[in-house]
Amino acid sequence: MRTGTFSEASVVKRIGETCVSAWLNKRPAMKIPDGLYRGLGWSFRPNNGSASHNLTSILAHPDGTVLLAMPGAMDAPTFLEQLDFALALRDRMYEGGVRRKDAEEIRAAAHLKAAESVRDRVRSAAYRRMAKQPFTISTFPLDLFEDLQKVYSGN
Amino acid sequence: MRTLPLLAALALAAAAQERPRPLCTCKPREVGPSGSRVDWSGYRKGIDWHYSVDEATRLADYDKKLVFWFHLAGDLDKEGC
Repeated sequence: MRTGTFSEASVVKRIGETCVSAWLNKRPAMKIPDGLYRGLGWSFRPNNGSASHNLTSILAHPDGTVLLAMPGAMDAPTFLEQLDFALALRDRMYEGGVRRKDAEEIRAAAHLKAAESVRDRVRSAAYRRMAKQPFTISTFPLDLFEDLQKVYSGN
Repeated sequence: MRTLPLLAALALAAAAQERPRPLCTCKPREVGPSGSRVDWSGYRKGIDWHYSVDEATRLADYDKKLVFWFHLAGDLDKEGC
């Protein structure tokens, strides 16, 4: 992600326009040998859903509410699709910057609907998990998706 | 004509009341056994990454943007995640 998707101009531009970004290395001591991914053909683009135990993209409102959390690698179109989901959800949950009373119902319903419409198994499971329970930046578990590791399937 | 100076004064007063953009004062933070921060070669290239989510949250609140918090893992000197 950091050397592929986040180096694409369209992604950089869109993130800069809509987000303030930070990263967290949750296992800085973990060793990943050079060349590991070349054997899987990852030199051109990341395979969506891969490395879900290592990577999570979280998009949150500044009040701390997690709007979307998606595990694993994502190529640029998939990442931008997630960003659009989070922005649209924010606009439905907040009116004039104020959180609606039914914001949590809106959030859960949006994730459930997405879980039913997306074909990718990892993404669908992540949406479903997010529909069940609200998270904030401070309560988000670092290992929430670590059981969803996907074996490369080419999609 | 007398309303023009009044409008100018009101505009100046409104500008003075605007909140200043928060300063980046947070120290780097990581979790994990090493406890030390390791930059990666793409840091500050392309995406404007901030060291902490707390800092990013304050700036997002000011800029009326979302917070994008990316969790990764591994030795960042390597090609990893």
